[in-house]
Amino acid sequence: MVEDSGTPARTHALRPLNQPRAMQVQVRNGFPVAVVIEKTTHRVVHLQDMWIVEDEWWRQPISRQYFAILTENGMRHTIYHDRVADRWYAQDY
Amino acid sequence: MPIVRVRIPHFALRAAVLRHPHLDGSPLLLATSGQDRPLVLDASPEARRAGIRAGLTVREAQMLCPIVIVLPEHPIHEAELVRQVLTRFLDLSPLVEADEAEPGCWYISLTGLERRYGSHIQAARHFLRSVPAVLHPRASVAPAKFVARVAAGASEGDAIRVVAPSEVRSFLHDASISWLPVPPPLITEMRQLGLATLGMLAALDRKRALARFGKPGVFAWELANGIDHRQVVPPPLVPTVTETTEMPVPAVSRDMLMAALRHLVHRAFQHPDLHGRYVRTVTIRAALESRESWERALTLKEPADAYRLVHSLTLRLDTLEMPGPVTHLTIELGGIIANGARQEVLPTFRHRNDPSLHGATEQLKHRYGSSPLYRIVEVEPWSRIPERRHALMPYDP
Repeated sequence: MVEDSGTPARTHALRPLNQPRAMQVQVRNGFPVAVVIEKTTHRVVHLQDMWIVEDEWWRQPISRQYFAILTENGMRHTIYHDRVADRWYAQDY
Repeated sequence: MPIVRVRIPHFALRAAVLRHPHLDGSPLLLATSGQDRPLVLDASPEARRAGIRAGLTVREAQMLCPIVIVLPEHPIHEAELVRQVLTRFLDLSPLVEADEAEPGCWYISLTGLERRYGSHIQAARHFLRSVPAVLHPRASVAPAKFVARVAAGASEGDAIRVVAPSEVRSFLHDASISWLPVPPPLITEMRQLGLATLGMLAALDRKRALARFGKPGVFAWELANGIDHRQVVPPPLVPTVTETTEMPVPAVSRDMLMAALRHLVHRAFQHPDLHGRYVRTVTIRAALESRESWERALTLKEPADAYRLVHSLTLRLDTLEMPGPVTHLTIELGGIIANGARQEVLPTFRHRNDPSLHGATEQLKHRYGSSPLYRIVEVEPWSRIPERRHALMPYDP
């Protein structure tokens, strides 16, 4: 049984899906070498793809560098580096 | 059953010339409208001599013939011309049929008309004269529709080509098989087998034609042999209500066009023919400031009254972009029926209406005050930013 959190349901608003989730990433020369997932550090064994998304420079600029990575436990993740805020996030693309 | 076929070759182009008769004899081309790169749809003989043909871009045509005059297509004017010609023919004979396969062609049964006009030829001449001469109409008289079609194609100038019943087979013998009203792939197949003329096709054994080409092949074989039992079928009388309005100023904004459409719909539904009735089709025609025209036909999912029709038009024309400022707007409402039956959705397309889902939702609403269920909807599926593509929308069945 799920307990009532007490938070009122915000049924009036549209809620975006696939929001980016902040994560810790160890970086070397600008490339991710390890990621922390559920308090466990996983080494990046293969960088499968990377691409840049630049958008909305006319208002709040969006500048992201995405990486499709393969970790040592065999999991594939898509992460990106927010180049404006200098933070790392996980997000399916 | 003698039949006259009246044919206006290059109908759309001649219809454009009818609006500008002083241009007759000049190199002309008919072009598509509302496109960035207009294409040539048809060309006058003078323009064709310069190498212009359908499918070229207008720019390419102008390079081939710098003095060529470009006439934009005008579907509204063409439709109006078809209606006018049909009305004139129907004044002379009740048995008139427009050839669906070829715009600007009509079959008219001459049965009984010889008593009024003296002979079938005289009757055919009346039909020919009822069409404006600038349209360059051609006519033929023959015992059946197909022979009349081939004969009208071979006729020149004002002379009416007459094919007597006794000379049908000899007349068709050397004609090309491209006259046959059968699917083009069948014509191509026949050509590949060396059948170039109707005489060659007629010489085949009927069973062999059936075995090789199927039912369409037998139909073609019968036509090649002068066997054509098709009757002239007059158009069904379909009541429609048409309303037109002149825009106060050439309109480009969608809001103004929708306001004009609302006005037209409400005016149309005041027509006695639409009192307490519903419509199933609507055709919107717009005359543009550039003298071009625009047309869109819509079939409604359900019969609509004025309110529902306006609502449906608002939804369907949401992304409407006119090719230019509109000066006149016309709506034609058709499919008029007396009751507004609803179109049921097929079971497989019906929204899932699970009673248990209803019950669960009610319980959740009772507990949280409102439904905490959401539906996934597309917001900007094309967005490069992943979190903007989809969203959750409140779901309350």
